[in-house]
Amino acid sequence: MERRNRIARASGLLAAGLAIAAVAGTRFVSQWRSEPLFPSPAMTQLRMLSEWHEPLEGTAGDTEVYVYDSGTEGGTLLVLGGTHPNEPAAHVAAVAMVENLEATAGRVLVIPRANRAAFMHNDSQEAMVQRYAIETPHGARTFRNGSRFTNPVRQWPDPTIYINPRGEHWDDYAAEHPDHAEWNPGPGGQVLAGVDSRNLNRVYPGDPNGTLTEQIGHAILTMIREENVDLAIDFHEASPEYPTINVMVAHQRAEGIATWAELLLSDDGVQIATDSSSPRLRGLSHREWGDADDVLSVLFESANVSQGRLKGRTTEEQITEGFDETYLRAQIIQGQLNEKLAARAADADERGEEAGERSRRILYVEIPEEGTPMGVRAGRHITAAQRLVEAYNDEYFERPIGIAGLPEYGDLVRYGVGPFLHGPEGEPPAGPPTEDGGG
Amino acid sequence: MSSVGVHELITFVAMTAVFCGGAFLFRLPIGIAMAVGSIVGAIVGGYVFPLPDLVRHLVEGMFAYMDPILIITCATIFMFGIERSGLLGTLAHWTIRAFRKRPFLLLAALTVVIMFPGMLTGSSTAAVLTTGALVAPVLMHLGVPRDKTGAIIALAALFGMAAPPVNIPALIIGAGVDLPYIGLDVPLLVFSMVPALLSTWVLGLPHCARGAAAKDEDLPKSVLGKHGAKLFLPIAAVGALLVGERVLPSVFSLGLPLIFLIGAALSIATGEKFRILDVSRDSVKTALPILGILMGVGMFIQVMTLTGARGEIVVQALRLPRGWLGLYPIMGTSLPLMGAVSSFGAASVLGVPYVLALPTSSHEIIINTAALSIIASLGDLMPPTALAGLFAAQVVGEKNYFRVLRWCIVPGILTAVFGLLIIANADVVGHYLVFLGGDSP
Repeated sequence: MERRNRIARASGLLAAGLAIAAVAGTRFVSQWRSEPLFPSPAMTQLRMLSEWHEPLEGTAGDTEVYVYDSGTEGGTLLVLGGTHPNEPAAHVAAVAMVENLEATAGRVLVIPRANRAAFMHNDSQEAMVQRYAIETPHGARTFRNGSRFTNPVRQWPDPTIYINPRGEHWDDYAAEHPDHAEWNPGPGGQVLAGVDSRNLNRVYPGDPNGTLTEQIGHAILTMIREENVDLAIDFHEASPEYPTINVMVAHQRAEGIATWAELLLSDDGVQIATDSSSPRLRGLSHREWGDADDVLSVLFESANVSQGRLKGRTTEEQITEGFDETYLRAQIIQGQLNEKLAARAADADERGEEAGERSRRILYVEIPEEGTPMGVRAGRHITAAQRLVEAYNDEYFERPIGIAGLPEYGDLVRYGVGPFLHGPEGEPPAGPPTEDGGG
Repeated sequence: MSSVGVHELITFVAMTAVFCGGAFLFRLPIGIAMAVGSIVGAIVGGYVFPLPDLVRHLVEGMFAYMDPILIITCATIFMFGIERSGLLGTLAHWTIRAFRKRPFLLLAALTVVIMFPGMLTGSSTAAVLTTGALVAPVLMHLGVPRDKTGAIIALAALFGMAAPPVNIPALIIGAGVDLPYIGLDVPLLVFSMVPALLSTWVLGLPHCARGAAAKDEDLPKSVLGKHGAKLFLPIAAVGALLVGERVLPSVFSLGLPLIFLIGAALSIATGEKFRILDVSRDSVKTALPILGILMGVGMFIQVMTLTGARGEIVVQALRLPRGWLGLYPIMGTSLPLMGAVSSFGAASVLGVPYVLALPTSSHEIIINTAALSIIASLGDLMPPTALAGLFAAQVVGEKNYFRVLRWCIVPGILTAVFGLLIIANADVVGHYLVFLGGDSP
């Protein structure tokens, strides 16, 4: 009897476990399916990243490269979205480019899902939504909200610590800057937490024989070299408490055009700063692309409340509307704290004593009460890319890059990104509403 | 708008109350109590429907500890293997014979030995289950009581995890503030070695007189004469592979689970005979409640994040000015408390905002990161997980891990205060301990 009870109990538990595994597994696997993208008619070629590194073919790391060739002489622009699929505006901005772009001089290459294997899951304990919908005039388009890291199903286990590949360019760099030589210590390069072995923006210059993520990094850098890319942009988002935010991080050779673009962007009403890429932080796109090749490399960051440590209740609106009550509360607390610190400092100054802490930034961007919608965040990327190209053309006029067809920042802010995307069945973008209400 | 998220805090209180009630009133296993607390949190937070989404969140949370679960299981098999092969007893026998007259030096050496795997792997569990298991019989035969032996091992393993070259909380905090892992080695070495040695001496020295007088026949049995030097092969292989993984990662990148399984396999053929199936079954049986706790903790954190409770706690922790009546005690308590669920998680969720709330000059940010990583590591002593304490209790054969943890309370508090003192004087400490080449970051 006892034995039968035990068997019954064990069978029940096993059945319950299988049911839970089936429900959760179905949800997990559903995220492996890529959503369709609808490139603009100006696209001249659809290539795959594996063309620059064959072993990637057929793997989760292989991804589409949309090519827009103007047919005229000029330079080549590369745009990357989806390096970190938990930074949705960086992905959506690249998708909007794919679906609207026209090259008028030189060539443009766009990779909207740079780390396709990272779109296939979410980060444990970050409690993200799996998908978010963007309304277009033809209906809702759904996009996956992925992870910062390659799916461990495709690359596992992580090492205890990760030492990113030390590109052959490093020795040349160190020879030129002997006082920087120790910044890239160890047998490889930068010492990082093990999980960063799956972070595409920590594995550059990549390794042809390395992990899946390192091979993706290698393929992208090989493409930059073989296609003679002149200007390369990597779209990203960051949490509002991260100091590098609403900035263009530029490799030293690209600082000039980034600063010029910053000025041009102020005319659009886009406040953005230029940060210099630190030679001490290895493995990042803006650093390694520019060190390994003569490409001008720049990384953009916009503010995303859905990925931060302070984020509140998980909602789709965190992504689409950029709205989060806990971040608003953090802003209130920051104000209250700074009032207190200022009063304390004034008292201390009066007494001629050391004041200590005078102010604190909990957040590095202002959190608007109505949120920072996708249109604004993706709009910053798209517009910054346009102005950076303008700044590039001013300086490198012998290899011009021409881009057209992209939505205006004002329209993106006013109407969101939806009117500039194809409909769910591939209906062409409606564009901004006209005065008679049409698209 | 209020500066306090009432719904989020109510959700957190409800989750915690249900967990505590389940664990202490209804005597549910801790992992199950955490799972029940998580489900209640999802209900209070309004995330029950659609049900498949909730199931996805709970399972996704559990997977946070997939790698530690494998490491713990394999390390436990290794530990049982070297115990049954006679290696543990033999090592204890010879160490005591060689050093029993010099307990001060012996305790210092044993502390470093326990710390070593933690220094290489960044895991206190690895330290407790490898060299901790080797040292446990030595300490107990020297006369250190079982519970204090467990505490010494737990503390040394924890400080080993915090010591260079691999301190994962520091790596995580550094990644969150764009601080390269450079210049941290000396501060981390000093901040971890000082409390490690002091803890061992204070807990162990008063008991070593008995060990000094012990007769050879009372010592653990040595099987060295029977099996020769090959007896040590499992521990030598594991040590070599751990060092190899750090020094030549491209060649030795096997991962901790496989390294421990190789050690366990070698123990079958190098000492006393035993059945590996028995050892595997006993190991899994021993480790299962701990694995359950980790899964429960994973769900708990996922639901805290889902319902906004995690974000709310972080925001409220940042509302005070720096100082001993403000941010410092909050840092000193919240980091270890959140470390109760995961010291790595605490480093990421709280450590990063705390570093940004402190002065960020090139020297101070390094010192603050190092000090906060030590405080975050204390989370490995916090129940319900208390990984270091839990496994230390297991290796010394103490059923109630709270008996081990009680001896860690004072050293833990003093370590947190030590860390905060370093933070309060980061500019001065940085002047002496931070050595950066080239330009400052």
